[in-house]
Amino acid sequence: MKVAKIILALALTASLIFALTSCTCKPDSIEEEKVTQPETMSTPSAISSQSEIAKPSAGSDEVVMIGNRIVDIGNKVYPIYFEFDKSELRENSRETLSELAQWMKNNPSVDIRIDGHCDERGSNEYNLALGENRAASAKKYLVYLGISPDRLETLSYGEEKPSCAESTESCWRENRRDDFILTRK
Amino acid sequence: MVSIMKNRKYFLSNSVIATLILILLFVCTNAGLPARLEAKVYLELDSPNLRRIPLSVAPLQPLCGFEEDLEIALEGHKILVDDLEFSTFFELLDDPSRHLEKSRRCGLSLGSFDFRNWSLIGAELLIKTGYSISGNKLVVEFRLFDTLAGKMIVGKRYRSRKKNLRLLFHKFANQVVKNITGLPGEFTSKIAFCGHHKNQSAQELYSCDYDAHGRNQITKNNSINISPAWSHDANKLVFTSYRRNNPDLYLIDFLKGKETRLTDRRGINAAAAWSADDRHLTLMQRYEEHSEITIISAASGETLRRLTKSDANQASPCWSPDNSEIAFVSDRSGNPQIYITAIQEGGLWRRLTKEEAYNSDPDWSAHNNKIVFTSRVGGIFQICTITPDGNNHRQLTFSRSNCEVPCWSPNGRHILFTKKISGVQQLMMMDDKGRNLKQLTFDKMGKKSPSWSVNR
Repeated sequence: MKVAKIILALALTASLIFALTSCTCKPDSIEEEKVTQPETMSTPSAISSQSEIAKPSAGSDEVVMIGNRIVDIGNKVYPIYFEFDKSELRENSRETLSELAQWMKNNPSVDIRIDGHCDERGSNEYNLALGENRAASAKKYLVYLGISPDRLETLSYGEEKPSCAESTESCWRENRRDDFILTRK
Repeated sequence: MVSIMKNRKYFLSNSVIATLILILLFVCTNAGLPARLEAKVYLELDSPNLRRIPLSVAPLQPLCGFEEDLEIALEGHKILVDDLEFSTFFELLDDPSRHLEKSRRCGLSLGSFDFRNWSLIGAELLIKTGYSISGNKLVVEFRLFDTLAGKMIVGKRYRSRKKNLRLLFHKFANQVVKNITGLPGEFTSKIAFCGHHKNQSAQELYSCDYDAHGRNQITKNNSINISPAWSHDANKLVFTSYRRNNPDLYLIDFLKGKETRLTDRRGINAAAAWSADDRHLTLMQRYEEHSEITIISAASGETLRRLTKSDANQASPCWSPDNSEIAFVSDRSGNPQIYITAIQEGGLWRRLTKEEAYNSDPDWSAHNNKIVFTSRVGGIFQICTITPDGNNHRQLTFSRSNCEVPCWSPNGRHILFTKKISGVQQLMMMDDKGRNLKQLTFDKMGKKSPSWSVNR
């Protein structure tokens, strides 16, 4: 008990010294800084999106299109579809592409762009490469069927332009596709 | 001194008398303290049992002769508390001074208040803040104190416009983290991401603060814009845009307010990442039948080196911290895996990931030398980390919905990624161990491919 009292006395003295030393400290020096907001973050230019392409002429009425996207030639339905993480053509896709090749031969003035797409699963960046492979598969087959490569462009949208927005198996199936776009009639 | 700090915590929980003895001890040892207090290490970051340092943020008070503005006082206090809590370094003690410092005479500077008010409740660090407002002008004075040593660690006075209030408080929070840990803070960093609305084809780029405040639309071209990446000085952003019917690489220089097209190679120009000195970019570009990894000049877009030439697709390159190696994705094994190669010509590849059949989107931290990536585990994408030697594979998320495209915070303490919540991809954050999960965004716009800048 006595010890505790001594300790308490010592401690109180100490805190008094502490308080005194605190007061005698030099005034604190503070760095000063003028703050401005970093540059505003907006690009000045607003560049227009892709230009509209004219509908095919009345002569090519065997082709059905939505905008400039081919959806039907001779009862073959487009786009063509792929398995998950694959870019090999299915058997029925080959038949569909044969119909397209025939139509392109009958209409020598038309050019086509093939857009490769993926479903939303997996890496967006890796899917860009996969989409390009899907477009390239179709191009390779059309060239094999006798279409000049000069008439065929490819473009990969990866998973950035789905045709169906839900996260369901049926939607994913619909999104793993090649679209065929008329770029010159 | 560190041992005294540790001892002190033990004594505190026992008795007040013991605490007072410690003050005596402190006074005795005071003379022997090193003159340069900044040199003191408050947190050993490598310690496996890193504890959070108890810290109090005193309520803000108007500077001498100025009016109180309760709105600013509360907002400023909240910013400091939120920042420092988020940092994972501090245990924030809940505003105890309401009971401790009733008197207005308790000032900001040394000697004008009693440290014991704070050390008694366990606060080892204390932040005192004063502010003044006149018209549009805002002045804020911050002081960080070591309550045990009874010393000021750092003091700053900031002058700015009132609308920059958040920036001022974030700046001082950075300062606190810097002084206590030696690491940069994360609080004036920016996040860039792509945003898209359901059933709309356009995807524009946006930016926001690390805490999701101040969202700003960067691109307005009504096209598809993807893969934004901040330069290391945070003044430039590269991204890929479809505005000319090809995924071309663009650069925005925010200082010059200028946008340029860097590369428009037919096929793909995407997934760019900056070298440490911001002079070079590595990206994926289409060659022959595959996507390959290249290095280009960030100034001219000129191709400097084609890094890969294979019969498979390569994607998502990123630099090692010393810029001697690149980690990237390749499906040469039949499915996407992460590999590392030296940037010298003919560099051999070594496969980094072996655990699952689908690994992608690597990001290599300059601060902890870990690589964070996405891995498909049991059909769901999760966030994992690994060291460049292929060891220390850790799964950090165990989510029932997909977690994707992770990237490191500017000091390597946090990971930013996307997670699908109620059908919408949202931005999420967690610390480098997968703890302290935080949902950053809640609106209906889907968000993809985030990039996290250094402090601006």
